[in-house]
Amino acid sequence: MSREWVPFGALAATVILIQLVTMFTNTQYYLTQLIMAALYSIVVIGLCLLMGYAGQISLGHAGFFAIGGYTAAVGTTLNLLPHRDHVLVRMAERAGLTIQTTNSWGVDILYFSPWITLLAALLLSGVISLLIGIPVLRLRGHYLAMATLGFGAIIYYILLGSRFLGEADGIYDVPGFGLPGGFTFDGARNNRVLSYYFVWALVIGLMVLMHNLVNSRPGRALRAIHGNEPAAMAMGVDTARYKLSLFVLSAVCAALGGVFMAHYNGGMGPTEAGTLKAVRYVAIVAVGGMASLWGTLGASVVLNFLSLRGYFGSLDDAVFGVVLITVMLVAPDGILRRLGMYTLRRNRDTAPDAFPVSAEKQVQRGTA
Amino acid sequence: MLRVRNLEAGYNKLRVLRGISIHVGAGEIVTVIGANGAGKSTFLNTVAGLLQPLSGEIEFDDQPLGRISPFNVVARGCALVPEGRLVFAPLSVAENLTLGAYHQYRRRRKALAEQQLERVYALFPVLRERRSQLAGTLSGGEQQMLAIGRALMAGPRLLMLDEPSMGLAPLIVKSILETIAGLRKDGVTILLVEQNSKAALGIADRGYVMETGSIVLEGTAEELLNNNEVQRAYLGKEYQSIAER
Amino acid sequence: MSSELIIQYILSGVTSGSVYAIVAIGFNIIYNTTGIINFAQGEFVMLGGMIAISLVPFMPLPMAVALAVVITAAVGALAQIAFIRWLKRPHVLQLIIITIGLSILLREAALHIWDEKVRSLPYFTGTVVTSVRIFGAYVSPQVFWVLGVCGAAVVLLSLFFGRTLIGQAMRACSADPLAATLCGINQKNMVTLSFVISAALGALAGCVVSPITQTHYECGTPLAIKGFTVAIVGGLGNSTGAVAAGLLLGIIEAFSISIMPMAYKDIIAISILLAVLSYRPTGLFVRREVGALKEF
Ligand SMILES: Nc1ncnc2c1ncn2[C@@H]1O[C@H](COP(=O)(O)OP(=O)(O)OP(=O)(O)O)[C@@H](O)[C@H]1O
Ligand SMILES: [Mg+2]
Repeated sequence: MSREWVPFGALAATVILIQLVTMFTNTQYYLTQLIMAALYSIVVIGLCLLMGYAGQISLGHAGFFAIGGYTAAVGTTLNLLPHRDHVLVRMAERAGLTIQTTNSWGVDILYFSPWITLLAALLLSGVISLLIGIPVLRLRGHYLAMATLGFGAIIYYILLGSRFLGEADGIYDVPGFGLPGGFTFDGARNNRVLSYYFVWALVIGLMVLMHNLVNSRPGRALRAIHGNEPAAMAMGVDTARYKLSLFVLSAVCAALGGVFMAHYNGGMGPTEAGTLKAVRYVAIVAVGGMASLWGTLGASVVLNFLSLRGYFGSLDDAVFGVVLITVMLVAPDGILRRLGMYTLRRNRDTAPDAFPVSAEKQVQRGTA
Repeated sequence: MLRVRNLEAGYNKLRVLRGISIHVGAGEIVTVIGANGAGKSTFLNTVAGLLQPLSGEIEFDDQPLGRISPFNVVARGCALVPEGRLVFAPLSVAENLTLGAYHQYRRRRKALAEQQLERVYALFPVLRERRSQLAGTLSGGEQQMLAIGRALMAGPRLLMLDEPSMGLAPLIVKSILETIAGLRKDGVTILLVEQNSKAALGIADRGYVMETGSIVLEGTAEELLNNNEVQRAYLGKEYQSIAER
Repeated sequence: MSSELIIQYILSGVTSGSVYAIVAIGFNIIYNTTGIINFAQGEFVMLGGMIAISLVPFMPLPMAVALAVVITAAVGALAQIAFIRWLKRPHVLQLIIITIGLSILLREAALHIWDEKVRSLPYFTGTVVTSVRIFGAYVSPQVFWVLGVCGAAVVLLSLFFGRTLIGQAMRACSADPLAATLCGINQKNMVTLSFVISAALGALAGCVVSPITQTHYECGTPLAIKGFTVAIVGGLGNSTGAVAAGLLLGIIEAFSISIMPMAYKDIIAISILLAVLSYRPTGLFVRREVGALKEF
């Protein structure tokens, strides 16, 4: 094993260690928050790529998270029995893509297999992010921020205003996600340990994927975008395409997190698409150091865990506001970098400054 | 009037000026010439307070000017016409000039400012004609006049100009430089930075030659005009023709 | 649709539209002096309303409104001084994130100072049921307060920026901060002042609409999005454009109720925003040449 993979091994070992510790100290309830923190981390890792490596801000990722979650929720709670004669339903049933059971109310139901809705969620978020991304990613700075914020708000208002999507209550009674080996990913207590290992395997897999992406040839091009877009373009890097691919990839990640959150919590509400959630994701990436996957993962787990366990009390959202401002004021490149913990970053020499400043801007803003 | 000793300045870690010493006496016209990137603009911007000196002293009227806020430098009587003119494009000519006298108005010296406005209009009659036109729509030469006029509105005793000839036709350069030279009789001391060395030395009393952040040569305008090095490097005379003399 | 109904819709559209225009002008003022969008602009509107509502039991309404405007302006100044003014060479992304954080802080502060209840100021003249009849339609006199105050604010602002030395200096700072400094203008003070003015403006708008639209700790964000839409459609930095775009958006929204569910009303503004940003980010009321100079 090359040195490159040591951090991943360490992460896997930590995951196992934590599970063992909770088992022996009888504090398994912590796993619940660690599972949810992992799900949010999936969103944030994707966003880290977009913000840190392509320098594009997005306040719309809560929207993609909700698109994922709602697609899964709708697809797996929609009772297909009354539509059994429909040709599509019949085809799906014959192909084994549906599940028939009796729900907690004692009603017979037939619904799409979570695998189908997972696929649908990823596709849907991919397509929507592509359609949104093409026009919007031509914008920069606050234009991009507002446009993505607007996108998130549209999703929120649609969820809130549609009877079909449960309005303010959202959708509940979402079944678990049946995985091979007869195990179900859901919030049930006896599935907790396996669910924990499943999401963390997912996170580690995603980290490996992102790590490879960042260190690939396109990855270096991505860093060029953040460093200096015109220069990257002059070098023949198709910056527009890279930005778009990253936007789509990060949106799909967000949807992935959303899908499993819906299955884990057994439902989803419109607040998941709210601005506050979107800002939270941005805050976590900022704390993590913008262009640091490991920093972002760390920040995400710590902040989400504390928040989910209710340590911040009624100040929950305010904490994220304070965190956001503080990071931007004292250590805009990310706390980890400021602390000199470079060893957490494997590419410190080539990684871009989180905030490159052009020469003329320096004179204008710095001294004027 | 202006005395600079061992000035070092730059951008972040990049040291551009490496110990510059220059003095300008009251009523003098002094020019600093040098190639692109020599640090001429950096020098003027540091004197104007836009950049913090790393070390060295800047004295204006025997008062240290080193760490004073840039917007207070003007009030002291030291005005800079920046490189590239930097007129307020979306504002009218008259508004541009009014803002030049901003510190006068703030000190309730309205009469003084209006007097100065008349002088500027007399110096550049075209500005009076164009006073309600937006500055961004002026021609390059007119913009340069406006930039100079705006700096004069502050009523400076020392006027620093950064490449006023940049991008202008020779005839306009000549007329602008003549106007600048004429300011001397109004009691304005001139520090002129130029790449157009010949034109600059033509109106100056003394000059300095700057190369990569240091002064390599100084002397009267005449001495510099006749200096072989200067002729070769800055006046564009053919090497051969110098060698033949 | 009867003509009374049409007038009713137009007046209600113009009312909310003029508030959007005021929020947009608030964006423009700060944008013009700093080049940044203040994401907390909507919170200034909310704060103005909330503070006035709390003050009104203790003093006459005009005084409560005036004091609320002053306090909000002070909050704007403090926020700028604490979080932005001392930064050296801030990056746009950094400033965006700071103002986003600021908006959350203001909102959460409002939640803790007050609560999540919906409140409103009393009607400036008459009560909820008072109405004036014009062209057969019944409208609340508050509508005229909103129109009058917003109109007066726009006129006063254009006088301020056009005729006063300080106003000109602020425009100079936006045109070229470096040259403004060379003219002896303290650029940092001008930026702080721009926060003061737009906070005050937002607070004023927040007070006059409070009786109609009510005030609530979360009412800032939707207003900010709409105000931003209006600012963009009118051309960022262009206040005349903002007035036109604000009225247009208000009227479109008012009429939308007759053809689609009320719940989707807020989506219209955002869709317009996304469409304009995507296809004509210079705005609709700006000449192309002017827009061509800007960077997006
Ligand atoms: N804002 C800046 N940040 C970093 N380096 C700068 C900055 N401005 C200038 N420099 C560098 O400082 C050096 C001197 O630049 P300066 O503009 O002072 O030269 P100059 O003599 O005025 O040249 P020119 O005749 O082309 O105007 C150059 O090497 C330049 O690259
Ligand atoms: Mg220069």
